[in-house]
Amino acid sequence: MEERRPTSSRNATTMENARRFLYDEDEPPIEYPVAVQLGTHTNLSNADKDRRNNRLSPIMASCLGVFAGIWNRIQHTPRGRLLGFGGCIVGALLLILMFTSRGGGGGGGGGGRGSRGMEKVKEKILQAGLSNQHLLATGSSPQHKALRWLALEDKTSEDDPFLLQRYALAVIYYSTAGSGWESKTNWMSTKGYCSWYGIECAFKGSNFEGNDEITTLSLPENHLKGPLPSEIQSLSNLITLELTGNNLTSTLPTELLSMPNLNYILLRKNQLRGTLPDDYWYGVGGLRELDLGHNELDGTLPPMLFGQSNLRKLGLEYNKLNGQISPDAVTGLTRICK
Amino acid sequence: MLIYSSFFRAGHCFPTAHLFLQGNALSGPIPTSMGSLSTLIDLRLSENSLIGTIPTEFAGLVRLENLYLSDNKLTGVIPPLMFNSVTRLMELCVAGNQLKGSLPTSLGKLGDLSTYDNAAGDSRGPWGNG
Repeated sequence: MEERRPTSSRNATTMENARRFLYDEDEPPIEYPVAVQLGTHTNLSNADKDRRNNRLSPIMASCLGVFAGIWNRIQHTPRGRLLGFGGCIVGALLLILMFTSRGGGGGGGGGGRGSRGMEKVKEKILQAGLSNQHLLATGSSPQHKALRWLALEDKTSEDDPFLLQRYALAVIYYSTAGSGWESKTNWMSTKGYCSWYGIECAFKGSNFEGNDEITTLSLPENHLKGPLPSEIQSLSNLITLELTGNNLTSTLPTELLSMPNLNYILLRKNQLRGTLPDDYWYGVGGLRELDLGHNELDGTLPPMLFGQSNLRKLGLEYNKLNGQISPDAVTGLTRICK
Repeated sequence: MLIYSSFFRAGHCFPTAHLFLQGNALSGPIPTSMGSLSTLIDLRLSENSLIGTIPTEFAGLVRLENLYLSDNKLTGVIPPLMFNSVTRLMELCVAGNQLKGSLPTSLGKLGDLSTYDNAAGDSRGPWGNG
């Protein structure tokens, strides 16, 4: 956030006095992204503006109250004294309200690292080639929301080895309308994601609450709605992806099938569209089960699909696949097996 | 990944056991090469537009337990010798095709066969005693 930039020193002083009055002065001044920026030039995003507008009225009211109180007190008239006293009380109450709601909500802009941290996180995401710059800059995109969450609410350090996995999970959450999920225990909390609903981590007990390599993402019948984002590729240790019976739309990210450890892709009963490209099935030696039944996939069967060396179950039933079943599907296989 | 390289060395090259392609718009014949998928347990090709005959090579599907071929445009007969080798079959659904001829007598050997659905088919024939 921007530096504190008071429009009028009198307002600032009044605020400061009121704060000194309310709190012990030992603690460092709380960074307020909005409090003293009234009317000054800022480059706030829409979300910032919303937040600022929400804060605006109590701040202004409390400023006025305190200011009026002090002013009237100076005038020493009985009526003024009364007014001044009342003003002070009202102002102080509003200030208390403002500070406590900010602390309790946890969603305030001041809770995280600020814009410098945001830039660092963004840089990491771009370096890893996870998301493109345009999406990260688009206020309404899941990528931007995830970035904001990481930078402003989440407390994971920029140097945390699991930062990008947290980012990927946040993008998945926002991309599939996470607020509408049926179960979402601990999702988007500052707790380690191994404690989040539907996530299993490697080599850790079920009550582990930190971050670790994710091996399972399992959110069946959980009202996920929207596309599965390509950022999922950063969960490179994922073995099982089970999102059966949701409302996943759009096409599958091609990155999914080049994930080296992904053995189970269970996405039946969604609304996935698109074709099964000819080439990207080759690379996945470890795929054990591919279940895409009851979706809206079209196009032809990839000729080498059955050549998947470890594929134990291939479910493509009830889609819109057409064309012939290529004899090569099996000759490719006999060549491998001879 | 180590697990999988050892998998290859052990010669497990095609363990596909469940192949579900039913309910699409697949056309053309069933490739004869499909009969070499000897690890198949459950093969479902029903509700497509497949033409031609059931390949005699299906005799190679020795582990097959469920075979769904119903509601296609298959013609010809069920391969007569198929059930000499396909002995574990429990479900056979061939209804809704244009299959002709008698049921193979080898079908009678299938001790585990619990479902035989040929409601809309033209197949006629006695349950043989093998």
